[in-house]
Amino acid sequence: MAPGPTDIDNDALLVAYLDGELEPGQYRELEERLRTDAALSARLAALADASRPLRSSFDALLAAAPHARLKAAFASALAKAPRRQVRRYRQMLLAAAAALLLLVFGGALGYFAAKVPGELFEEADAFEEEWIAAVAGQLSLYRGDSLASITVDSAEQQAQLSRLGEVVNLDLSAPKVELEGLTLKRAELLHFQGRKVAELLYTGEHGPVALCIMAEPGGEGEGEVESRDGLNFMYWAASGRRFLLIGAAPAKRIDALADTIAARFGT
Amino acid sequence: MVAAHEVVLAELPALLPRLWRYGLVLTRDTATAEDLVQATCVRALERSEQFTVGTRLDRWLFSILRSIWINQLRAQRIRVGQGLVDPEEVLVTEGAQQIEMNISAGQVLKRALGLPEAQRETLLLVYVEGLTYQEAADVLSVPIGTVMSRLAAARLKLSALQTPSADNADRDQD
Repeated sequence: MAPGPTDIDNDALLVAYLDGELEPGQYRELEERLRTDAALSARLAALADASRPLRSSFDALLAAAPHARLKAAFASALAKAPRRQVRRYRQMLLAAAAALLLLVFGGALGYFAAKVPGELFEEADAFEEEWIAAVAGQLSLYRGDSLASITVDSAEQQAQLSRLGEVVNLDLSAPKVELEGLTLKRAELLHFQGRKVAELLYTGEHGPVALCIMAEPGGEGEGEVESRDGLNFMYWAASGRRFLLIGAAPAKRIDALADTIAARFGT
Repeated sequence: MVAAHEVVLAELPALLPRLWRYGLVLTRDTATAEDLVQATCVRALERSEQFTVGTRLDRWLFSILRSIWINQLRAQRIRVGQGLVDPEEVLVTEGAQQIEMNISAGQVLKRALGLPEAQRETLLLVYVEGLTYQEAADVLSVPIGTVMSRLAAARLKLSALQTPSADNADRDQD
């Protein structure tokens, strides 16, 4: 039978009594009731029984924990942490310098008065996070052979690459964008929060890989491959542009591809 | 500030198994529990300067782990349809290897992991981790009365007073 509200209140009281969490007054009052109410003390005994083996049972879980993998998880978190802190510190300095310049030249005073540098760099971080998440979300819709079925018209692709190149002010001709082991399936202009993004969509052994270029300066990346939703990605910013390379390929492969791309574009 | 970071750095590794256990109680999935521990490490190290030296690091980490679960991972798991997990399957690790323990401990765990999420985490914090009602209320961001009613409901279900078939009449007391 499910307990009524009074039972629950009573049980809570009994449990708090067992746990030593009652006020002295409540404690004495309950002791008195327990002495005279046999049903209540029977209930107390049953409730007391229920928690006795809990700690030892749960301690068995500690022994079963994947200790080596947890230590590895900590080590990998540790490897990331200092870089992020340095990055934030740099961004804070930059934001502070920018705020100072604007104050000196009298521009946008109200804006910066309302936003302390700390908020500014958080904002920059958030934009990158959102952008990466949006691309990851889009890419996760492609699976296996969904790109393989797209046929490529070479002449049309060249024309599209050249138009995209103008948008991001980069040479995106075939030798610059061909990547070993990958086939370029799509080159298109996308928009994210009012900014233009050139996206080159490749397919390869491990499924789709996307290279996105935004012709706008951004915060520097982590300098290493990160993962999100089962995808690996490398984000970096250089020469006034943001680059994002992302795909289901192993981290090492993404890292090597990002190196190639960065070298080609002199970034 | 530096001191706080150093305390977190030095003491976090020893707490990893307990964080994983809390993660397992919340997620009822060994792999998700690992993800949760990793995310907790990243956030704890990033925000280490927010830790107050002299307070309990385990409580601080429990709060972080819990907030990542509530705000990020739980929604994802429910979206992909893994929201309901059979407690019988929880103790099977990724490699389909049963976590080894004696039969009675296994029985107790199965019953405890079968409780609603709010009850089983409150149970863990108070009876296994040894938090006071007030400390548990702080970690869980609920009033002390809610901690009490959750514990009473959980104990009742684990006791001989109620048969498992009566469990579907239960609700989380939030």
